[in-house]
Amino acid sequence: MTTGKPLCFCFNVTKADVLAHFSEGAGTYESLVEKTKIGTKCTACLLDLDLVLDELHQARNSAIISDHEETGSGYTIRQAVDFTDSGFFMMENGMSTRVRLSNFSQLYRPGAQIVPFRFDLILLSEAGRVIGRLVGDIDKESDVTIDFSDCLDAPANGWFLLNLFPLAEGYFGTLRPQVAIGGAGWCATYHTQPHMMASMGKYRHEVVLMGNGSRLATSISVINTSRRPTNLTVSLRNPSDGSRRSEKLELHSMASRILDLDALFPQAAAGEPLFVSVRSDQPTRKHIINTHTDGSWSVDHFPN
Amino acid sequence: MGNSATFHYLTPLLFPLMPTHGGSLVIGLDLKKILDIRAIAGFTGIVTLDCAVIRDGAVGSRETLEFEVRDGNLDEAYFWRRYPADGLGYVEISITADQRIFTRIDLPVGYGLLTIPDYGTVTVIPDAKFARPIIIEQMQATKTFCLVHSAGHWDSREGCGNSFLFVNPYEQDIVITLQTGPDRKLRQKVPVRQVVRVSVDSLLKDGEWRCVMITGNNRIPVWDIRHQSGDSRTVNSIDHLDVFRGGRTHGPTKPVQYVKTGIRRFLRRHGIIV
Repeated sequence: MTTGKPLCFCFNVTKADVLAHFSEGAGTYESLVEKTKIGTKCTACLLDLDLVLDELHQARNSAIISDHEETGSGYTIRQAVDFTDSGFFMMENGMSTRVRLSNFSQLYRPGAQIVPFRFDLILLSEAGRVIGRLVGDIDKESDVTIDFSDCLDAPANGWFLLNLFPLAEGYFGTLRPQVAIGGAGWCATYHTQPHMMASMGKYRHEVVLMGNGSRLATSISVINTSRRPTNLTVSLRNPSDGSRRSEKLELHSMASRILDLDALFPQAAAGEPLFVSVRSDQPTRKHIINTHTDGSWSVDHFPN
Repeated sequence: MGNSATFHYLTPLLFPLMPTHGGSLVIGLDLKKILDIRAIAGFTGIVTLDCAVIRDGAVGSRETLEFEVRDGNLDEAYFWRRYPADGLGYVEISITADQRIFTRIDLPVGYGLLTIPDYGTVTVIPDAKFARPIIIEQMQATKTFCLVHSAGHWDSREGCGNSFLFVNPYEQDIVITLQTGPDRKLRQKVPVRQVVRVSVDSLLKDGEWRCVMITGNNRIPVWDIRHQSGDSRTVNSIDHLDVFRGGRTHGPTKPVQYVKTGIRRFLRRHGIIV
């Protein structure tokens, strides 16, 4: 093996060893692993190995991707990629909701072309009516905390759309929005999700829950992102015995609702994992909310 | 077996363990669903599930189960176990087969559950030990492993605490750096197969909200933990972090799409559509 800082510490394989293997002409990934055992023990080097192989691939092909080739049509029009996320909020009964946006360069090292963004936050009631709106800018190398109480005339629950639009051409910073929901003595956070990824698909609608004693202590926030009403089928499945209970509901267009699973499925807590699923005939955004005896929550989105 | 199948294993999953008031981590796997989405159809053979609990740098307990699969079906389709959440550690779950049946090694699975008596449950998202596509993409784009959480926060008056849990499942020590500003850094070593918890109160002022960025000399699984500020065992929320994406703000488009998008933005900006 060559000297130098190892790429793979377990088998002392350096980057030069990897490059030498492929410079021999017939070298393949499989033959590299067979010869050096790289990545077969702790596996932590696989990421670095991917980068080295990617560099090698680029160097070999010498592909120059131009805007012309990317469009494939001869046009070189460039347009801003804005993105719209959605989520639910709670402001009633002493709860608070904030959205955190930060727009920093990687590791706080200015130099990359991080650009300012405009945010457009639209709040909708559970009935689907627009009840608040806030537009603002987030400068490069800065952050902002949007408190929903500043956007509403009165406490309410509902859902929101958050659009982020670049004000110049450059690069995204640390822009993934985080929602912080809180109450007395607690705070829970969740990532917003791309609004277009609201789903009704086969593998996207099921989440595990356990309950607390005799209660499920779990709710589901459902947002109908469509302009049509949707029919929901909420099902609770016990994988141990295959039993299943279902309830059907309707949710109006652009409306949201918090479904209390203890109300939907009384006496369902079993002391073992259960699966809750939500099927809909229109795209819906769903979150699972576990409530605790001290009033605190944990919030997570259904898998995308 | 089909020509598209190339792997006999899936990336191991990692679930964090942390001290709680009598809680336990419940992990359930729908093996039938895993085979449906990752294995070639109609597989007949043996699938092996290995569950190891690692504490203080060593495997404390290990359970290995074999499941016979016939034509893509197995008798015991659902597996679940409970592990005491009474200290720092992690559970590593590996799924392998006796043949190359898996079409991809990454595995989208659901949550684990941290259940605490007389309190409730907290969803726990697992992390993949390696080959998470989004991390590979990030490393290729930015050349640095960097995780981000935009809502780092603690507030002693409100009783809100916040810490990060680092799990090193690899065979070398990892040195991590947490940053909440250009001049606010904290370095911490996470030894081989150890778990380290770092509170943000050394990086943030009381009541402050700040973006936390985390990097290391190697990729490392991290979880964001929310708990009572005076009691880190009362955990109410466990979340994953996001990678720093650093993508371009503009991209090429065709004239028709350019016009459509422009009209939609105009209508939205003026409140005509939502």
